[in-house]
Amino acid sequence: MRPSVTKRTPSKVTELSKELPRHISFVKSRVDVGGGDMDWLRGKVFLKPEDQLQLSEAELQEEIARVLTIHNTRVPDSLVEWSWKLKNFILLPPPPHLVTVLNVPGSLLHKDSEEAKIQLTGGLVVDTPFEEAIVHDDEEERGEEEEEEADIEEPEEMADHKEPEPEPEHEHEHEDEEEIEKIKPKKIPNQFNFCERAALTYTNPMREMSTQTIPPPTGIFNTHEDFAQQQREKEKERRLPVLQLKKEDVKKKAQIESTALTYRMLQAAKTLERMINQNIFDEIAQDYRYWDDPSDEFKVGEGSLLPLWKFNYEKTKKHDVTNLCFNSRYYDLFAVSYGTMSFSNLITNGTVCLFSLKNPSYPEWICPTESPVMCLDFNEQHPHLLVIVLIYNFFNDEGTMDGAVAVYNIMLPPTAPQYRSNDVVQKHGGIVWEVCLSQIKIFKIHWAPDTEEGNLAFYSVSIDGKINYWILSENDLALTTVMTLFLDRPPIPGPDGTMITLKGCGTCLAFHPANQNIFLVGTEEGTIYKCNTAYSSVYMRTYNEAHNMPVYRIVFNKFNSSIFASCSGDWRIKIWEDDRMEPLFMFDLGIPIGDVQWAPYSSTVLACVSNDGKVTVFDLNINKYRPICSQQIVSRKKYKLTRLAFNNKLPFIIVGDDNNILIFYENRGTVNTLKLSPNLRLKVKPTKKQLHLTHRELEIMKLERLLSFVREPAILQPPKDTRVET
Amino acid sequence: MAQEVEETMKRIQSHKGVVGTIVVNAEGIPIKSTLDNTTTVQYAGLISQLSDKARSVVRDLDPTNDLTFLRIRSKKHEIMVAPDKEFILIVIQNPVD
Repeated sequence: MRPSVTKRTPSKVTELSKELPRHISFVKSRVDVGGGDMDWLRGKVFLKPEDQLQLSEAELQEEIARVLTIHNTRVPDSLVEWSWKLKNFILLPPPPHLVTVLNVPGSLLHKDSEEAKIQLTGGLVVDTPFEEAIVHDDEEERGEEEEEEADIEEPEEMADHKEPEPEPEHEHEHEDEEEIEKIKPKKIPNQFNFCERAALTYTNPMREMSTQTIPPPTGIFNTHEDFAQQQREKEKERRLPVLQLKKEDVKKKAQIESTALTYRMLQAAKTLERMINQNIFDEIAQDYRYWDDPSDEFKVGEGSLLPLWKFNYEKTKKHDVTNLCFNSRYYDLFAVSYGTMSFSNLITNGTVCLFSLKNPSYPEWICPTESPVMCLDFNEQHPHLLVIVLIYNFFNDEGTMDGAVAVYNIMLPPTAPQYRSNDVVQKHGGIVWEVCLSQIKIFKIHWAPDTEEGNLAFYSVSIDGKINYWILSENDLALTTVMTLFLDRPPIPGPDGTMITLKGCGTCLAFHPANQNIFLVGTEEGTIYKCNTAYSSVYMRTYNEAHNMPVYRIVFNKFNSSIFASCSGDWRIKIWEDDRMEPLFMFDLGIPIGDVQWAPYSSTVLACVSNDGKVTVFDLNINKYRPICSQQIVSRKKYKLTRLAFNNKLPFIIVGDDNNILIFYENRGTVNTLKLSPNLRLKVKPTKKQLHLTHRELEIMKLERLLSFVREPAILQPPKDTRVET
Repeated sequence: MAQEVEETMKRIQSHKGVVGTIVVNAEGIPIKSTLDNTTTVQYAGLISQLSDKARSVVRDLDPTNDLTFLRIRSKKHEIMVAPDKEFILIVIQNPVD
């Protein structure tokens, strides 16, 4: 037996002990194989040791037989050892013929063994019949111990040795069984059949949670069509809408441009017209601004009126001027309403015109209406936006008179009103005589809900005795009847025996400048009622028989709100103080007076127009009994004057005319502009002490001083008689 | 609105002392006139030049400014010009009649 046998020098006899070298050679051959794998990379080179035995063909062909023997060829025979004691080699006993082929340490443990006892001390379950089958955690430890203990010895031997030892202990255990059970030691889990509780969780039931998503864009792919064709079609589709859009845009642009162009052209033409008018009326324009009658210096307490332009419109020459109103923002702009004053007139249409002093020949804004216009008013807060026009349908289908209200925005072309009362419910049962604009102030103070906030509103009085309150909401006019005027007389029996309370016929309306709740109403009967919007059923005060004929106008003084003037068909102008039943002043002109107005610049000046075509101006401070100016403006035979308005900024007035009742003169409906001479617009000259006072304060003082002369004490008390003893 | 322009132009023509009105387009060609041909052409050519010059004067003095109207007062007439970039309105008026 050769100790080392290689593959290249195979031994004739093979034994089990040859396994190891063979294994080595195996590794080598594998290396070769690895090299073989790389054949394709480089040339095959066999690595051979230099001293390799060269064998002939016959030697290579030689057969080598393999024989199994019972002798261990690797065990050395006749081993010797040097003995220092004997100073000689001595023969050693031969080593045992034992070869360890496989060593697998067992995992079973006898229950009586020490380790088993150690494990059982934690107390285990003695009553299990298969104690031998208990699996131990510390197998490895024990395995190591065993290896150390019995390198050569068999484990069975050890087991035999130990077997008798634990016998008595087992008995002891049985005795202590109950005690151990009481202790309830840790239970050793069965490694092969147990489940850990901690790992167990609830298995939640499966739920399907799905959301609806927008499906991705899909297209139908037609494999039959040519791809290029498809592309062409797509491009066409893309191009078409773009082209169409472009065309529309171009059209729109062109339209906008053309409208802008025409608008600019219109503006230019209008300006040119104004220039032409300025040239034509150059002298009047100079007078209007700069001329003051020099003769006034020599006339004390007397003034004159200088006629300026005359405004008229071709299509309204048959109409009467029913109302005039200056715009509060543009002092040169005023509105004129054309209708008729005489109700026997058969005019069925009307017009509203806005004139500017800059163009006396033609109105700036013309609004034809289907029925005569009775009166109008600009809104003070929105002067550029709204004008209120009151229309009465002169003869409606039933043959009675009817009133209607419309609101126009003068910024827009005068095609249609923004608001219009058309419902039968909303209609006034009679002619609307006067309209007064006001804004809701109560709600603004209280910060009421938005719906009520800031809405425009106005009051109107009509001949059926109703005072209506109109609110302009977004789309329509809302109507509230504030009060109905009833006469203080007892009810009279009607034709069928029912008792009828007579209604008062309202003709004019004036709101208190300071207190928007209080207003005065003049009636056809000549009575003036002081009313409050908060109390609809009672009058605050009744001025019975203030006039004997219909009251045409009531105006509050611009400086003292407790003073108001009224004019009437009974030829009289009366100036009243609040809460005083008797008038302070009374002027009889001997002719019905159409309109009276307080001057905006002086507290004591008032002007009126009368039916004889005269404008009469009073200055109470200068003359308490006579007018300071009474001037014929239009022909007495042909015309009468109806309305009058002061300009707020410049010293001129406008008056509207009307034909005289008996003669129907065709050429009427003219508005005259009149300049007030210096004597008619005297202002208070402050004394040295009063220099710090404003013009308004001075005017108020002037009026107060004047009134103190006129007022009579409520009750006259004669001085007491006193006896003087002598 | 175009109708309104027409009406206004008609009214202008009817005013006292107005000799004639001319509307000139952007190229300086008279497109509407109440005067005879030669006068119209003369006015259109000269006034468009003048208004261009006047505009350039105004613009040179202050680049943010622009010409809006032009009034030429002569012994006999007043020529009123409303120059726009698209058109020029010319009105000739005899102010003292």
